[in-house]
Amino acid sequence: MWYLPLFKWFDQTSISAGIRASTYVFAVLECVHLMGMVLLLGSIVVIDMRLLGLGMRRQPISRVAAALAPVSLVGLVTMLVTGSLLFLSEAIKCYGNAGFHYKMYFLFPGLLVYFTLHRSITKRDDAQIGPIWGKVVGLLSLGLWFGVALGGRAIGFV
Amino acid sequence: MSLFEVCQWIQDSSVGTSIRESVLMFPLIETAHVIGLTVSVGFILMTDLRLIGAILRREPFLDVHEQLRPWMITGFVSMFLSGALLFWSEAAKCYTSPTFRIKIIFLILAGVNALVFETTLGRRAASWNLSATTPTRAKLTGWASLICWSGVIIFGRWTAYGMK
Repeated sequence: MWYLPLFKWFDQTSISAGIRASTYVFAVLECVHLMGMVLLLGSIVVIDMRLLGLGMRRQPISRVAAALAPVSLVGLVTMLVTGSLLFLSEAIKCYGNAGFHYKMYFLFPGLLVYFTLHRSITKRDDAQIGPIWGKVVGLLSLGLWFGVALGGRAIGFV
Repeated sequence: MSLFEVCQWIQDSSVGTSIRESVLMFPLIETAHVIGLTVSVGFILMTDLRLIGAILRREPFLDVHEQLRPWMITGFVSMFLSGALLFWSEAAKCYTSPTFRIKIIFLILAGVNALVFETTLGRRAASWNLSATTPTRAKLTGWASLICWSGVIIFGRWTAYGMK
């Protein structure tokens, strides 16, 4: 693939070598990555459940989403930083790993949907969103983020 | 029979052995465990953050707590069942793992913390339900829960490293 040289270069950076040389850094990064996931997915799943009409129905969508957005952002930044470091330390393993590829197929659309559709629809009043559109975005968001999680978990198994 | 022997017997049972030796079972159960964890601990953390007054301050505490609870319980049940199956397949290994013991201690502390809250302050929640600033004891409950669940996750993840 065209990006193999890039992945090789990632694999040889000093950060990458440093993480590999340590017994604990990778494991610590993985734990922090998992904590970030609980924050990111915990908050997004609450918003998606609200969009689907399955939870927090006593509150308007926009209020739930506005209150939880900072939590999602903290989770997302934590995941991106630790995830990038984990990736750097085993870029070549990731290159040949189907789980990693699936994770990326879900991650990039997931980020795109989150920062466009998801953020804009959750700013509107419930009446403006209507009965169908909110459910479509909620399902799409849930599907993409759990796709990321499943792909990520699979990296360690395949 | 010592506790270790009991664990060894659980691990050697036909269910334990078949999970351990199957190519797909262990990864699938582990995945279900992570998804259950995400939903249940994710929702618990959102409630904790409301308890300490960090988020959702405009919403009544009971609205947050009651509306998230069904999903929290659903996630917890799937986490608990999948966790029990994982334990079944490597009970003796878990017994000898120090990090697994710490994880279980955090899990019990999280349970005790929740139980104490539900039977005391949680029962009187109607009196402070609407206030953005929660009582000190509610804040302490929230922090204790955040710490305990972080401990469960960190030491749970670490257990898998230790047992390779």
